[in-house]
Amino acid sequence: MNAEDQKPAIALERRLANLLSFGTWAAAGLIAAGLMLSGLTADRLPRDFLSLLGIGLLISLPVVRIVVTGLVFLFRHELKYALIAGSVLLIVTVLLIHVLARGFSN
Amino acid sequence: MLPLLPAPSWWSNYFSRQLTQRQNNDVMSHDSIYCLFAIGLCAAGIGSILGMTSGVFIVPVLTVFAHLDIHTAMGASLVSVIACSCGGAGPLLNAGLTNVRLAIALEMATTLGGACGVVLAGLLSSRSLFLVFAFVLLISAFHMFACPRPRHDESKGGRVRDDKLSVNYLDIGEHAEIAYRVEHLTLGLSLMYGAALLSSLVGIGSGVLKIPAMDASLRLPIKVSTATSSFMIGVTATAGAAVYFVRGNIQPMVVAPVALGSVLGTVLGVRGLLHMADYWLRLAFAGVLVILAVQVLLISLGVSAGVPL
Repeated sequence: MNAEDQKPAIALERRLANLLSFGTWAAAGLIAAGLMLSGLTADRLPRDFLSLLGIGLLISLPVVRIVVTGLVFLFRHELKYALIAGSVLLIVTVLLIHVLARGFSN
Repeated sequence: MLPLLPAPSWWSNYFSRQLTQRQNNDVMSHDSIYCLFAIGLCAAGIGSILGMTSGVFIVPVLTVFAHLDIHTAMGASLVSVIACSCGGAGPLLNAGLTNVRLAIALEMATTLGGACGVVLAGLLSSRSLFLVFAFVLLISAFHMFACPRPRHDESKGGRVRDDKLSVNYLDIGEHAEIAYRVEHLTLGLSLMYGAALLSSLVGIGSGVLKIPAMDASLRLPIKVSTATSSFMIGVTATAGAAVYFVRGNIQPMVVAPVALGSVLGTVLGVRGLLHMADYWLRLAFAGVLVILAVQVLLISLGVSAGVPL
């Protein structure tokens, strides 16, 4: 694979690196703010809200990453990889629905 | 056939469960917060160097030493795994160690294996599953220790299905530019499916089996296997973490310090991975696999010593 061929791959990696780094630090910031509030106020609501928001953001990042990767491949007409990313997203969604449904029926 | 989603009354149950379960951890001392932060930091540091899930270390520590409920510990562990995967992804992608196309392809096999494991869970004898898992761990440890890859992993005639999977990167630890090609992709996909299925059946993070599977079949440099595995583990952990989140098993005052520690631990661990020589990485990985195999073997023999995995 020559240097010209690697350029789009490197661009994709940079994009994903920025997305995941920004998302992780934003989530860490929210979680840290929630923890700091626990030292300042006895009110559970703002503290738990910020922490849970950060944790929720962190949990959603891998799914956002798959969506972004799939879209990038789609725009580049790399349909094989776009299809694979779509399949991964579908499997994760079905798995999530199955586990949630099973968990709540217990 | 998949069961249908629960009725709307589910929402009221959900909110009451959120409130009652989270009240238990309403008050937490600063010492406990620092302690949980340190646990997340250490587990994620070690986990991100080795590319395996930090949950392997976090769950036993939180349940045995911090005396937390197993569901709370599992929730914290899953969030920590995602923090490891996402927090370490940036530097590893920029260093060219993570192969995104390969990760996406392998994710299809691992998520499918994980999903099959969830569906099949409970149908097979857990004792024999643990025995098989311990056996696979020991074989993997032997392979990691005894079969090192050549320093430069240029393809030597293996079947390459897709040249876009071929990448080169600068290895800081080995002071060399490494070029590699992905070989035997079909075998790699099959092994990854098997690793995810087995891990899902016994309920242990699949990172410990993914790296040896990638190493054995795809013939990747160890750091590429580690970085790509680390990139992938977040996806499988997301499904589990989302379930724990919705069910109210994510205790903010427990998970928040563990997650923060995990983010910082990962940043440090990834630096270690980038600068580590391949030989020591293999040795450390094989060592952890042997410890884990002994632990799983003891559980299969009924001697769990109170240490859940």
